[in-house]
Amino acid sequence: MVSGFHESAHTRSWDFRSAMIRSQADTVPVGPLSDTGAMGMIRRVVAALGLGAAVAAALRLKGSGGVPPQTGGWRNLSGPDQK
Amino acid sequence: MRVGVLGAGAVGAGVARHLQAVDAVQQIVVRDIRPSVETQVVADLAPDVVADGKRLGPLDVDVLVLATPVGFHVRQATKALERGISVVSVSDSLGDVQGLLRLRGLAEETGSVLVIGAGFSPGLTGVIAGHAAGRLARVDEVHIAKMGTGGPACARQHHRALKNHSLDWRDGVWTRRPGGSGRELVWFPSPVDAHDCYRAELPDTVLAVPCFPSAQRVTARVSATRRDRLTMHLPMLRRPHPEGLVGAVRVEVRGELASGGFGSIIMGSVAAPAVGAAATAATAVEWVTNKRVRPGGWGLGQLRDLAGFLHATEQRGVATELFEGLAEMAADPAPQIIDLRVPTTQSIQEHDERDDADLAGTAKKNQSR
Repeated sequence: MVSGFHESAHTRSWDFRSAMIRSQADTVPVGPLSDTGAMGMIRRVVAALGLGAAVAAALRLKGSGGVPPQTGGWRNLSGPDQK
Repeated sequence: MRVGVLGAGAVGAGVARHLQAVDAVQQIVVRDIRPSVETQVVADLAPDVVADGKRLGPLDVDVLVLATPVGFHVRQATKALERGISVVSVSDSLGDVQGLLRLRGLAEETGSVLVIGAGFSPGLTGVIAGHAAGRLARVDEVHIAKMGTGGPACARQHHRALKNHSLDWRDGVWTRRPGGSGRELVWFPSPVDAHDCYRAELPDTVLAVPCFPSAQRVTARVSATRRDRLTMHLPMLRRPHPEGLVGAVRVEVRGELASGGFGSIIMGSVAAPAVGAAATAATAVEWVTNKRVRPGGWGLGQLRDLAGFLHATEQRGVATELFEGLAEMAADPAPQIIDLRVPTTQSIQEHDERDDADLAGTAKKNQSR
């Protein structure tokens, strides 16, 4: 019996498909070939740069706010005060 | 006198409206590249305001107000000054202002007046800075900030200014810094209140530095949102609004107080930027028509009787405000000194006694609960 196969009418087709995919994946070579060499290095560098740029952009746009004045206030400057 | 107004947008129309009440001005001639706008302004403000019906050619006036979009002011001012016509420019472009400053000699030669940067900022900011500096014995620093935009042309200029480098005065030399940098939380008068402001290509510093020879630092900043800064290097993504909402300017002048010591004088003003620019430009025209400005090229901060100028703009609905508290503390001849010396045994004992009393009070409250 293929792994993932169930008797339920609702899930039968879905489970069968996933099981087929899993069985196909077993035949694909995995391991050192997929993530080594120049391409892997370039991917990691690009990913690191992208992540760094995203973090820098977020920090630059967000900022750190500031401290409002703790005392005092605005008063209209008119009449003798203008002198 | 006849006054010409080139550009009948938010600022130009406001200037024409204010000039109707100036005794020395008999007629105002408005010209705009958009016939419908020109017709509308003339219809609203007739009979004092008229249109000459031309798109090109010189205007037969005594004083010319340049309220057109930035980029054209130098050429228009040159043509007018060559014919002996006084010019009031409201441009807030650094390129325009630098070009107009080079026309000061021409203005002097022809016996006419050239007022450079007669808007809300630059313009009213220069007057406020000069007025605030009058309360100091020596000016060390001037920091100008503005928030908000007027009409669509002003909004485009704000976008353009933000992506270009600022021109700051630091330790006696001009320094260029990237636009959008130098975040500072600026507290404008209410209801505008706090806004983050950044460096931008603003002409305020170029006009302020000659007014304050002792100043070591002169900076100008403009408020911007995150979206403004994110999109500042792109073309404007949305059509600008017809006229901006409320805006504000704030000027902080630091230096040596007349009473000794150092302090800051902070002043500001709140108005829709187009309204503020119109009131300032109209007051400048009134000053020129009343012969209160000598022939030559001037920023508004270089005029005499700055208090009178502020009073005149107040009469036109744009009041100036003073930040009290900080200024008063600075003006105090005997400011509070924080004692940073090593505490003595007596002071430690007093401190412990206060702590014991606080603890006893807290314990009593807890018991009563």
